Amino acid sequence: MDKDLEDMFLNALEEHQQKLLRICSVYASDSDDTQDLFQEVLINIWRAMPSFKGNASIGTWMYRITLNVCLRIRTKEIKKQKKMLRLDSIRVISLQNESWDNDVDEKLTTLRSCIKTLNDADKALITLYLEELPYKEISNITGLKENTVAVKIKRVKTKLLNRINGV
Amino acid sequence: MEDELIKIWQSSPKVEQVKFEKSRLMLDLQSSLRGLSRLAKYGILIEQLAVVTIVPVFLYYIHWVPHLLSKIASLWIVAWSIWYMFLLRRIKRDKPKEQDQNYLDYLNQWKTYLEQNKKLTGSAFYWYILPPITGCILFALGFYLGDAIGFRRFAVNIGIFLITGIFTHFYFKWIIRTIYNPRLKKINKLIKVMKE
Repeated sequence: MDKDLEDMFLNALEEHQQKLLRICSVYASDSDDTQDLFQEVLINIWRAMPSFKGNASIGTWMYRITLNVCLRIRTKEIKKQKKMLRLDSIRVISLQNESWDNDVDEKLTTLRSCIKTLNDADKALITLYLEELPYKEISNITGLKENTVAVKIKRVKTKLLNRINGV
Repeated sequence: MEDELIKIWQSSPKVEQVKFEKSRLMLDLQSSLRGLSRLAKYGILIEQLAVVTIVPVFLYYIHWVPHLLSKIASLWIVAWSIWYMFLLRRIKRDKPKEQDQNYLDYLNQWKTYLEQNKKLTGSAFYWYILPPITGCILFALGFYLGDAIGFRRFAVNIGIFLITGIFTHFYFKWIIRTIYNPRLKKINKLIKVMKE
């Protein structure tokens, strides 16, 4: 891979890694699975870099690959593959932030578990929405019409808010 | 309230730091690619190797065996093997590769690929089992009619061919049931949900 592509990959990774990690987290069962899935996503993005044509922003392109990989690969399958290979190049380290508000922490846990109960399509839509992507970009990533995206997101949001607030 | 969801989502009690070593990733990628490619190509490669072995053997038989029926059967098996080799190449070529298309296109591409392969596997009796088994039976029959083998040996050969054919037939049924149907069901469900 040439130097420009490598730089582009590293810069894009720097900018989007937290968002990609959060998307992976709703398709995985726990933090280990999230890490496995995230590694798989990065491998796929890295592999696909030479085919990046620049038609969409690199962020949009990375989200597409992330969702496609999350959909295609279940973490159990990654574990099977890992028997043959070991990925030490990408590690996700969690550092505890002591000044965290417990109430928000509880809400985040609830939100994550609520999202996990959604079907894969709704998971994709809501995570992209929560990453503050405009409807047009979500439409480009998912292939759905902008109106459909808006309607579905509204429906999922209501459902999530009701669950979080215990309605 | 909507902003509250976004705020909760984007705030995390844990600061997750991604440690990334580029040089290691290159090595890992090479290893990963080799491993994955090996897995993906394994099935097709085995079949291709079998074909590559079968073709010269039966080409030699066309020249070597004295019985006309066996010569015809050998020619039939060679023709089928060459056709099968092209089919394997087509299956390999048609596999969806690009992952950077949108979610719906990606699902549809996989759906088409899985449906094609399911149909192909479903009709395998007519193109994968029947032609070579017929060839093998005719090949053995040529030897039997030419008095080169006795009835007992002929019957044993036929039995082996038939059992192999029946086993393969049920194996393909099992593949459809356990590999294609669940994946297609999931993809169809997802496409339906997305379009609702």
